[in-house]
Amino acid sequence: MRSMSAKNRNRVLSIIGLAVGLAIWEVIGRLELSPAFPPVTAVIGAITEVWTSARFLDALRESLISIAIALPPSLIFGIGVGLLVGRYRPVEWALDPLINTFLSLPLVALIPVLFLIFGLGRGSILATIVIYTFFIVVVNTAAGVRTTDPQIVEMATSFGAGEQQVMRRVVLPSALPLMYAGVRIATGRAIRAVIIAEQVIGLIGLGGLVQRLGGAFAVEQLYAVILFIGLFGLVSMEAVTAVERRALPWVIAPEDTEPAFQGA
Amino acid sequence: MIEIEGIGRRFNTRDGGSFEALKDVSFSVKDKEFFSIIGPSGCGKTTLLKMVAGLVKPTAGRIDIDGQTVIGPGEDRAMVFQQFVLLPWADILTNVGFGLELRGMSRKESREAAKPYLEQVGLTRFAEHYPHELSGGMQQRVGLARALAVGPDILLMDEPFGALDAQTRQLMQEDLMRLWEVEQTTVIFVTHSMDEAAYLSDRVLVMDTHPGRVREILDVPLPRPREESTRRSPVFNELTSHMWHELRGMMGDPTLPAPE
Amino acid sequence: MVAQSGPTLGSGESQVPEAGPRARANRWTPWVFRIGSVGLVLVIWELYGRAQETTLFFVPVSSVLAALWGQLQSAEFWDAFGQTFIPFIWGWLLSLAVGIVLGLLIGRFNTFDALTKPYVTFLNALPVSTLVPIAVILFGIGYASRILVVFLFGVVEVTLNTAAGVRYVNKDLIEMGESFNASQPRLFRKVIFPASLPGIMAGVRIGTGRAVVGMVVVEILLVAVGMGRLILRYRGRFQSADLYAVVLALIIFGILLQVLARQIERRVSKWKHEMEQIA
Ligand SMILES: Nc1ncnc2c1ncn2[C@@H]1O[C@H](COP(=O)(O)OP(=O)(O)OP(=O)(O)O)[C@@H](O)[C@H]1O
Ligand SMILES: [Mg+2]
Repeated sequence: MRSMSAKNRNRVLSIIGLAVGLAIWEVIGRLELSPAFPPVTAVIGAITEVWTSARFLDALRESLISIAIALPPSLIFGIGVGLLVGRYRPVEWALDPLINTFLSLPLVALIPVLFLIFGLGRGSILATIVIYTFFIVVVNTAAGVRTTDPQIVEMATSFGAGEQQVMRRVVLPSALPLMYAGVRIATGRAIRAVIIAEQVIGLIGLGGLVQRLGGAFAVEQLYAVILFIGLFGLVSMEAVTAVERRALPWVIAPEDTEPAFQGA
Repeated sequence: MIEIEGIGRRFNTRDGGSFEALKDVSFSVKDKEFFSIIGPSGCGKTTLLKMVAGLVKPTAGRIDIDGQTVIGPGEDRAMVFQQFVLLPWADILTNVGFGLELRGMSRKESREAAKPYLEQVGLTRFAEHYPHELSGGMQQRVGLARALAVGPDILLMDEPFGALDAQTRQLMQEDLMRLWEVEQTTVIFVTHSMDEAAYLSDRVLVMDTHPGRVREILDVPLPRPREESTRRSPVFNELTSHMWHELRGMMGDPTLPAPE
Repeated sequence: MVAQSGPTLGSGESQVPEAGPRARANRWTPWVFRIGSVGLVLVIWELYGRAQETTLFFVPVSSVLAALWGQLQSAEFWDAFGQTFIPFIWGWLLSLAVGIVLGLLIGRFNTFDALTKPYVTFLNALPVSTLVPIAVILFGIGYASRILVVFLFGVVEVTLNTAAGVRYVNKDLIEMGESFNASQPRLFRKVIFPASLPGIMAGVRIGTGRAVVGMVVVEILLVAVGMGRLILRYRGRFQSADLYAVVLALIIFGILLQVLARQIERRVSKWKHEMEQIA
């Protein structure tokens, strides 16, 4: 455990690091070395205007809707399949090759194919989110199931529990920490998925906005949107971690639970 | 009445052969009796107890309880484990009620029904703590309360105090005595400690090993209620040194504590 | 009042793998399931593909494989592959080099860690693909921006994993080195670097995966050259089987790189493990 003062010291250093970086950026911007680096003050100036513009808010809504439609079912099915894979060897044998393939291939490469199948629209975006999140939840849930203490299963059996009860009252709670770690990873990946898929389409959502602003060389606005996307990613992860901490009171630091697999 | 008749158990080994853990074990345990099993490590005590619990199937012989053959776990039996085996994600009260919950009560009912048992083991104060916040002795009290809460006729205990330090162990023995006198259940108690066996039991089964067999069954002619002074009586000492000689003859297991 | 039977067997027994005559059968059962399920997926892919009225959208696996075979024999494919591969190699190596150095610094020096924390945290949460337009504005759509994108994709993971590797180097080991009066550079070379190799290699593996993703993102978002141009062209000409084939080639290439990285990691970690056993 670091002492409080060390923590404060680090915070101050982080602020210094940030300030120095921004100052350098400002100088580069003022020197007009490249259109890619406008002065940072100009970017900051653009933030409020961009973040409140109708175009931005529309794009944000589009992206959020896609996540809201695709992520929950993907998580739920992923957890269900993960429980089966973790608990029943034949299911594991049957699905392992497929899951491993999907976890080690560069999923972005599938986007052109998804566009052929689902068209240049929301369908493809949803499909992208699903393939980005489903398998990662499956492996982490399955790994969680495998952490089940066989002694607890035996204890429950000795009190007369059948397979269903063992599944619900022992296996599921045992799997929770890794399951949540999987959900945490999946949330980050869902954001990546929606942005990249929208970028490829180039029209809708925040990803589409990034492409259009880039194409128009509207660099200040572009930075404002990128900044928002990054912060949104950070806040979402924090939110998931907060839920995790409340849901797993017996795990001392749930956010430190290393996911079994993060994916490429 | 528990009748164990010609019980045997073979396990398959990795090299394709099989290994006889228990052979032709027969004895019976009377209702409300406190019956201990002692024997060298690996002689099959846990296996035997799990067979009575219905967790492991015998490969020979059978076990009858009040005339009915055991084919699986049943509501008349409850087990207490050496490693406590509490649910780390549930608080103490839920843990105590877990057996009841598995037998059909709702979480709320089972927690309510668990309260008196938690009180019996003196942990009411810790109802809403989690297992990792409790000492080993307290955790085993929870394990005991969980077993008692389902109102079993037979309590099966596998070295329940084996993971505890000597002082805690002695306190737990006294508490168990007190509880057993109130609850009036049959107890089958596996232990490595000769003191413990002599202090608690009505009878002690001494097991032989390779394969596990009955060596002898000792009566414990000590008056009840047993007290601290019981441990210093001549009968007690005679019993423990008798057991010690028997066990030492079987195998030089250095983990067996010598009698004082 | 006895034995309301539950399931006949408890897990006390099922934990132990059965040996004897059944073991032989058991060794093959997993493979039956594995091959069976993969086969089933391929058969469904094939049949579903054939059942389509047109092969515009969904192409049966046999046609994809045939198209891939054709691609592998065309000079144009290998040309495109080279266009894709060369900038990838540069970006990838650059991300490893920079990531390992940054990671070592961050892991070893708390001050450096704190100074760079805002950037690392932000970049780790940011979908890197959003930086592609910036790269284009900076360097146009030539090699330089492709290298930059691949680099940006790889570098964060390499940095984070290396830093974690250094941070978890056994403190006793460092103290041991210091007790021999080792200078900082020597301590770094002889103790800290070797001890953090597993973390570094994990970074190399994960970073490689990310760099491959960067390579594909380049192909999909900057469609002017390389395999991305092939994809765009086949889409335009409705040559769906060829599009599938190019995607499949990218995927196979990505997986091969991953396998390679994992192999290297395993070898290095094994060597490290053996060292520890001897010590
Ligand atoms: N599921 C199993 N598969 C194979 N062998 C087993 C199994 N369970 C127990 N055995 C073997 O059977 C023998 C008896 O085991 P058991 O656990 O019943 O002994 P024990 O008397 O309880 O020992 P201890 O005093 O060390 O707890 C041991 O040799 C053990 O290795
Ligand atoms: Mg045992």
